Amino acid sequence: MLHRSFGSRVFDAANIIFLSLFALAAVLPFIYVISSSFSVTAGLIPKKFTLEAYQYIFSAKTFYRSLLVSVYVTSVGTMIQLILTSLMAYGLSYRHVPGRSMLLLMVVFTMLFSGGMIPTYFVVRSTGLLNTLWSLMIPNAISAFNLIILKNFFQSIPDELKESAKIDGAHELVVLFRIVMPLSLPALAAFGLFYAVGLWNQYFNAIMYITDQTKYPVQVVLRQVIILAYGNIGDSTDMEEVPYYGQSIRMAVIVVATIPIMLVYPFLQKHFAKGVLLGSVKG
Amino acid sequence: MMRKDRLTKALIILISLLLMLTACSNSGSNSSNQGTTNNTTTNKNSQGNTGGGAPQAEKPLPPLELYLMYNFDGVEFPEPNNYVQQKIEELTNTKLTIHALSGPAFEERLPVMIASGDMPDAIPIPRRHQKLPYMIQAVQDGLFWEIGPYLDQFPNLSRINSKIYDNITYDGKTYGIPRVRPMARRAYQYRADWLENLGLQEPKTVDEYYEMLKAFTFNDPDQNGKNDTYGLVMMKGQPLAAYHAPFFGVPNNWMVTEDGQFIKDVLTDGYLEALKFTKRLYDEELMNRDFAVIDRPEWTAAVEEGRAGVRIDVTGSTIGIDENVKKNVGEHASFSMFSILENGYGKRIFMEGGHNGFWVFPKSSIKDEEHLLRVLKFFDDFSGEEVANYLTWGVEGEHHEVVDGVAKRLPAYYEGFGDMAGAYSAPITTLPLDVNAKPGEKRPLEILDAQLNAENEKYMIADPTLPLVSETYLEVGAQLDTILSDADVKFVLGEIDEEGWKAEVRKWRERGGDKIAQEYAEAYKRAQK
Amino acid sequence: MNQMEAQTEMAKPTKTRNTLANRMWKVRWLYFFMAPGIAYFLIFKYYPMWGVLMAFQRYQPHVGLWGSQWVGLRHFRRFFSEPEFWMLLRNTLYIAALDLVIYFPFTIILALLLNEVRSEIYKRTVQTLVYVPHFLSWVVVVGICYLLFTTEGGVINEIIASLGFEKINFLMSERWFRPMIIGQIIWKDAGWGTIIFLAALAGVDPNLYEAARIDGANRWRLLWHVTLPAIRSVIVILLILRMGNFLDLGFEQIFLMLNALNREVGEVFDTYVYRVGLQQGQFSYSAAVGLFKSVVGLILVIGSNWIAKRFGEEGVY
Repeated sequence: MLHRSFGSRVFDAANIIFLSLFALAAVLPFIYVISSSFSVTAGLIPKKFTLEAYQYIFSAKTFYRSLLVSVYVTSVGTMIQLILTSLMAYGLSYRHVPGRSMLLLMVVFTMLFSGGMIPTYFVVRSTGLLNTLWSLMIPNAISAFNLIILKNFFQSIPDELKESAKIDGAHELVVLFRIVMPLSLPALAAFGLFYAVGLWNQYFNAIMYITDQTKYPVQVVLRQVIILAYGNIGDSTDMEEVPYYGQSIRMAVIVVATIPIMLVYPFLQKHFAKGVLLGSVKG
Repeated sequence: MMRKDRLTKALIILISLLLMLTACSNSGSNSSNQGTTNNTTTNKNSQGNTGGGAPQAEKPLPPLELYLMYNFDGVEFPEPNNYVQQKIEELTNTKLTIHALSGPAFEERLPVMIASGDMPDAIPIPRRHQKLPYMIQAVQDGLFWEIGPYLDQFPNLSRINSKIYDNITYDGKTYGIPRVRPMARRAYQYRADWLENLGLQEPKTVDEYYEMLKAFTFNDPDQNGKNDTYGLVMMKGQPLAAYHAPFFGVPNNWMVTEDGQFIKDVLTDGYLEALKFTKRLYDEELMNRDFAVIDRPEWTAAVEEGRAGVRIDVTGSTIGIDENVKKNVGEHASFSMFSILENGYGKRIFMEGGHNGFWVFPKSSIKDEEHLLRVLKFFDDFSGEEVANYLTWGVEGEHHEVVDGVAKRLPAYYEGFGDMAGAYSAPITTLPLDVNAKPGEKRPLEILDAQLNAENEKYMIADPTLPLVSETYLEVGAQLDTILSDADVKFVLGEIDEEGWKAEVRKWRERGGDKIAQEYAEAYKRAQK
Repeated sequence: MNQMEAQTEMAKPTKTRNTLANRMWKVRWLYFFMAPGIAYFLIFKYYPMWGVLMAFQRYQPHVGLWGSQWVGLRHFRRFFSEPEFWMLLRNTLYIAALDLVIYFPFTIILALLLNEVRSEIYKRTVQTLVYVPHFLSWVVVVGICYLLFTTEGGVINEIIASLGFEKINFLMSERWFRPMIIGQIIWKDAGWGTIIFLAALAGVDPNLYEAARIDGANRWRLLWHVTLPAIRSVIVILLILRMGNFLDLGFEQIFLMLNALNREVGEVFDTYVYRVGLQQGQFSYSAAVGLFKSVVGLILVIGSNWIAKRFGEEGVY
């Protein structure tokens, strides 16, 4: 029986209050957005309930197709990116690999210096990825940031585990996939989430590399509606040619563009529960 | 737990494979539909163009394959090979491949396209890019065809107002066909029903305008017993003086004196008068207090939801807010507009470029003169009677009917056809379609729109710097403009006084304003020769 | 560990030579694993790096890099001699520092607080809710901010007024700009920022907690001796990596919040480059400013990595 001090219980109460307030503050604006999408005028509670914004959005065939594109790119892309990153992070997690420092420096360097939009476009072009869905998955395949932190996570796995497996004759591949990765599930879940969100939110890559409008991801189709409402960012077009979308359509667009990816997290939550390493070292 | 994870992983792989298959088959069938889509590289020589054929050959030439790329800002560009596009192709004898992007996306891609050389057959240069260094350099280096000499072969293209062509020349030469817009379309949109309720007339002078704003703010124009209305709404980024400036004798951006000197508007007395007028509106609470902060959505919502009575925008947008205010407030609400107020300086209004970008023709895609002429003919035909009528009215009997010689749109027009036609007409049209389309019944605000646009042309004042280039402006222009616009905002808000404002203007001069004036003067002299 | 190694060593009769080639051969599989990743970096990151040279040219897109005129350090000279340079530097540093000193620790504390919650359901619910704002784009966030803080009927100001105080012009004042920016960042991304720490905390062996409790530790000592050390290395790595992008602030957020009245404290390198560089099509100038930021980032990373190693931490490289 754990004896909890009075101070401890006060802390718990204060903690819960604080977290609740913060969570409320975090989610309230989104409720505002959702409710505004169902109403003619914006508000926390819909004033004149209407579905016309959603009807409008869902009536566009391009929208459905772009949803499919986004789902495909996000799911396949995340797997590719996770696998590539894990492979490389695993290799880098061994301290005695010759050239390791240099490789790490190389990776960090890419986080700081970049050639820019035009040279990258040329590379994508020369590799034949232009106007393919691969151009949305490969040019950003590995995030140096994720790579380095994942490497750290791998390093924190006790060496005994890896050594004992190898003594038993296990191949490196097996060590990676059967031991290291399952034990790093929290980290993999986190980075999988990061990659998935990044892929889902892709906009710039799509407009740069994709010509065929049947391959546009959902953000391209939907962002136009929001970005164009603002006159300041880029004004190449005549403002009167830009159909002005009422606030409910803009809100509905936001809802549809973000809810799918938001729903991924709850599924990954179980990996953030404690005690994943339980019982793994012994025996 | 391990087994469940493996199961989910397997499921994910399975689903992705399925999606992959569907995606592949979709894009497969689509690309076969579009035929030449994947061939996004340059060479689009028209086939079967046997040597020496003038555009008016008797034997019909095979359709010209035309690859266009342009900015389109609706939600959905029509499916490839929809019936509108097919009809256009039929009427112009072309096979179109169109790549449409939203405005900002298009602007991002433009320099990249120029860098990579992957250019379509014709591309519209956005207004803002007209004088950017990379564009000027590209023109100077001969990337595009000089089409000036060919224009008189095309009846519609030549009918475009030469003033507009003048505005888009480079070193006096014409490389582009403008997408024509009304040249002077600044409009003061006001609640007509409020005016009526108050027993007032549409203002003709600045004083009457002031009285109207006052009445809108204090005299309960919507007659609901509440003090919840005000006069003018403005948003972030809108010039505070320039909108009222024409009525105070101020030049349009710059003026040229008789001896070729260039003087910026801020240096004239009238400018400060116009600015002070706006400040008066702010101080007396006839104008929204958060103008420096709000953006387009809030600005539009203010008029559409019945809080503000006046908005300064363009003639073409009035019909939109009129429709929406009726939806939000009630059928009794309505908007009207005027463009010019008199204030002792005669009737004046500022002229804008008169175009929303202009089409240029890359030499890398169009290899020879014959090809160029066929491409130009497409644009000419596009504004011609057949296409203009089709896009404006649709098919007779289906989208419109003719009653007593006047065309009238049917409901079917608005159910899809209108939007689809718009995806082509707005971005492609050079000479406005209603020049050649048959006349028809238009809604009152559309008629007023056309009326004002025509009327305004009589009184418009040009900006002399439009066709001129100043190196310094290209380099630091944005920063200098910010100094002036920030000064205006601070003055109206009362953060700085008149002396402070003048100090800012001096800063502008020292940082580059004077140098720019000089460069414009020199460019002007050169252009005169 | 040492025992096992010693045993395997003794099992081998001859000692293999410890040359570089041999060492590499021993870990050949690891190189194999890393090959796709290395290829990726080479192709998509290093190969396009020639773009950095644009900073030393008057780059013209249609003639490409080799055709464009070289101007050496001209853009840098222009940049450093800008009257606004010091203002930009000050503003950028200020906000970057606030971000580091306020936002970063806040996410750690938030993660720890979440960790202390006993009810798993409550914890999961809060976790899911606090990361929702991350998905809203800045356009929406600033829009909502306007609704709340405007003097024209904004909720916050209405409350302030009803309490008898004078309304505060949050959106148009220099004084409130930075607090608003940091506030927005915390609101939007604090929840998201906890994810990485939660992942680290999830990997902590519960036996360590058990053992410490048996030794009589109360929750504070648990926190100090078990929890914090578990995430210490992650914190250090994140800090070092953050240094690399120290001068990179959220362009979109600041751009949307800027207006004539707060420009003095709000204009930063990124918004400046957008206006002057990109909107005016000056690729080379923007490349130069970007290069400047990258070099500063590099120095900071090298510096902080060295410091970390002095403290016995595993650096980034």
